Amino acid sequence: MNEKRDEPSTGKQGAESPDSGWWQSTVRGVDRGTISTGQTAKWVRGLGRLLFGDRLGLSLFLGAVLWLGALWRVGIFIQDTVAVANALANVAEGRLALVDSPYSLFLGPQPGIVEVDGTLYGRNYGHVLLALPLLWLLQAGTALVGTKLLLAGAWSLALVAFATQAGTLTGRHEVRTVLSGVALLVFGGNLATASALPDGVLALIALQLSTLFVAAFIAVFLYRLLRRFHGRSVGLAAGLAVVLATPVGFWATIPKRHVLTAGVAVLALYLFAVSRNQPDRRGTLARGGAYVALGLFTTVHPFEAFFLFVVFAVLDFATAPTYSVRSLVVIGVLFALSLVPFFVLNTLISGNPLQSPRILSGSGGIEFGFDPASDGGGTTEPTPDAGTDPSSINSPGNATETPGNATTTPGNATGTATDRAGNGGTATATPSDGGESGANPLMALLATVVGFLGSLLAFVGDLVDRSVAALTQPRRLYHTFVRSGQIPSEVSTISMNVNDYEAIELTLLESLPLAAALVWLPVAALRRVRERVAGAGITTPRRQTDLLAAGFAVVFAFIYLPRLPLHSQITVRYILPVMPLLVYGVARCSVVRRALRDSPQWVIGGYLVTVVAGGLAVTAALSVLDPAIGEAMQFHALVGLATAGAAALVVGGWPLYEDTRVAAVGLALPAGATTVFLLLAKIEYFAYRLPGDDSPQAFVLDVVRVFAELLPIVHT
Amino acid sequence: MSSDGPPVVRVVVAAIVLVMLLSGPGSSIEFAKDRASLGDGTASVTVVEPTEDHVRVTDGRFGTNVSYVRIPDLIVDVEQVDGRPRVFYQVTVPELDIRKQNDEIVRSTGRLRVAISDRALQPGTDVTGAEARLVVRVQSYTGGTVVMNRTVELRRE
Repeated sequence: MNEKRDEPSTGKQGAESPDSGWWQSTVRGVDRGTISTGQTAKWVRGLGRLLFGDRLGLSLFLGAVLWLGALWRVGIFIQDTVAVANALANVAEGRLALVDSPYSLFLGPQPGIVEVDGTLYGRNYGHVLLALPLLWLLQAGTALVGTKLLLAGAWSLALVAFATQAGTLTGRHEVRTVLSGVALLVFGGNLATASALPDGVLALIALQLSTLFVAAFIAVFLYRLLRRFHGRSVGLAAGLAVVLATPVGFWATIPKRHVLTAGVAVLALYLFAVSRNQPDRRGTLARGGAYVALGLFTTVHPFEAFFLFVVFAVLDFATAPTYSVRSLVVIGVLFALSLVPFFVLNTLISGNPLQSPRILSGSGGIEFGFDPASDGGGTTEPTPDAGTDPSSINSPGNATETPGNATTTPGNATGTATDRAGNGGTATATPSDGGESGANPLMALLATVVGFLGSLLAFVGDLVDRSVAALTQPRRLYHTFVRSGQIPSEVSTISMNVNDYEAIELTLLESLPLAAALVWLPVAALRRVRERVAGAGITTPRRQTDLLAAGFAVVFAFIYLPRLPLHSQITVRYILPVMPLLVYGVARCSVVRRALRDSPQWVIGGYLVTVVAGGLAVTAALSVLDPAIGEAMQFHALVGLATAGAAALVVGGWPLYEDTRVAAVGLALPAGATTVFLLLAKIEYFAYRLPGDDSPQAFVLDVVRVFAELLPIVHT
Repeated sequence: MSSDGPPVVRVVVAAIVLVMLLSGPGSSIEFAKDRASLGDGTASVTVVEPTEDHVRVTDGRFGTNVSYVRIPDLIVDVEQVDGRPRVFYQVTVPELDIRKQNDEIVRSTGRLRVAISDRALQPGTDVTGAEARLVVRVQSYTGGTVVMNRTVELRRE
């Protein structure tokens, strides 16, 4: 695709154009306050610019939070969350060890829990520490305000904030007025219908809030990235698409690691783009920031952090703006410092700085613990929304207390040693593992590191072998990426009995049909190869960033191939971090950008019509068809594939018609279809569990609960 | 929320914050209500549906490629209610190891629906001769009454 023809002017390369109105109202507000003006205003402006880029970025963030908050149900969707929520509750009381278990009836063999010398620990402590400040805020807030109204009030105040920003952006005061009125109405509605949450759920809420915010930041950083390359409208469309038209919207309030991984990948991609062609301090700090993000992520999932790091490091140094000793030292020091939390946490838990809870949970060996499946994803299922059906609440297929399941690994199809890590159950280890020599600590440390690296290499080699083998199985690839349906047992690691034989595991294309617009990729790749042969090379920040996005996406999908398709994925969640990268790829397509530039009203109109009319049509159809959960999911899968076909046609067939209005509609269809799917899947199809409460209806906004109860589909 | 915005913005913010504070632990005003839960009492109900002499087993649609036991919704008319009882609906098919149930709290007289989601069957399951037992009870902490207890065949359609 020719990028040069249709580029909007973005100003100076490498710097986001300043928004003259940026934070003005906030600054003025501060100016009139009693707080010291100058420094505070500067600090607020700097922080705002650092986090959101500009006013549109802030508005996008608020909009994403509102959308994701509206779909939010407080509860546990997948059993592994219990261990992390318990860990947060204990960390809030000043200890890493699990002593209290507010989210499970007892402390024992559960997915995600490890035992060291008789002491139990959770995992994903990096996520726990990220959510800790939110928990403190919630604790402070609930000292003054009831939990439910705190959340409902915060949502409405966020809408007022959004209204203020939108009013300023559009220059229309009535926008503020109308949206503020809507905020008050929604708050009144929530007030009138408010139902209480059970006590003791603040840690869970904080965890959910943390991934919700990260998801909103994914939208913001994708916006900022594409704004650098193609201007505001393309950036905004990509940011919106991430939360409205990809499964990121589904997983945003399910506090698994996937949204965090996606956030780290997108942040690294953005900082990579910022730093290209910038040999100065700013570029070095941006590169260092990316390494810090990747380093810190080892406290959540060392396996994923490792592979993202390898891809990033290779491409960063291949395309580095400078190789100066100073920049390398700065980056090296920053990266080393970012690994300190990993080493400290591991030492405190296992006694070995290299042995994290995830490695422990793999029965002690790195080759087990690093396995992608060691999150217990195969054993604790979200289930078809059986609603208040008590039988299903206690069934193996539901997200409930089923400790016995922790040792079953239906996904052992390939039978290799690493598959054993799929159990996610409690594992034990002694603190002395790998570092018991007291005579010569240096030699012991060296032996530990060498042993670690040896195990790591063996693991990577084995994983590559299995991934390559998976690449030669077209049916496996087909059922992972294209069409799910009832996946034959011989090609999958799906245990259908865990899902009660419901076909609820969608493929990548079914859950992200917009990705079909990537049909242009082979053409673009051929063009790049031709240019490279002609000596042009990959020298621009855009193409270098393309390369990193592709590298992240390909490697991430590659390492999870041997495990997919798998149950408990819903939208192939293991490769969720690939999805924002695919949106990036779609936005880099010139046909897409032309549609956004020349026919924005057709994009917006097509999307809104698809969501409203399509949503009504789907609701009407499903209310008549009275489907089971598997049928409803497959219905959405087929709709998704149909709209994916439209996207592929308008992009692939562009030279045949060259009408941006047609392209706009063709792209709006899959985006709208996914929004409808997200809406129904989040509020209607699946059950969430709350400790001490058998109702799966703990919506943050009770008006949404009332709306969901009125929907006559997939009844419970 | 800028203080230089139109009055309506400030009024909205003030109203929301005020009400939030009124819901605090120190307040005697209770906004968030506990969800309806089972209590004492009883109700007089009449089963309207299901009335069929069989439970359908049909093929799954949209590529699910499994068969489903299509469990009919329970619809009852509540003629009289006292306290906070519930209508409990259970479907069991012992031959297929199926046991599904649901309940609804009875709040008032009128029509009440208790739905149970369909149940997918393992591919290759033979339903010949299998029977479903449909049980409806009115229950509360002070006792229970069986309203319906029928055994019907599973019929593949």
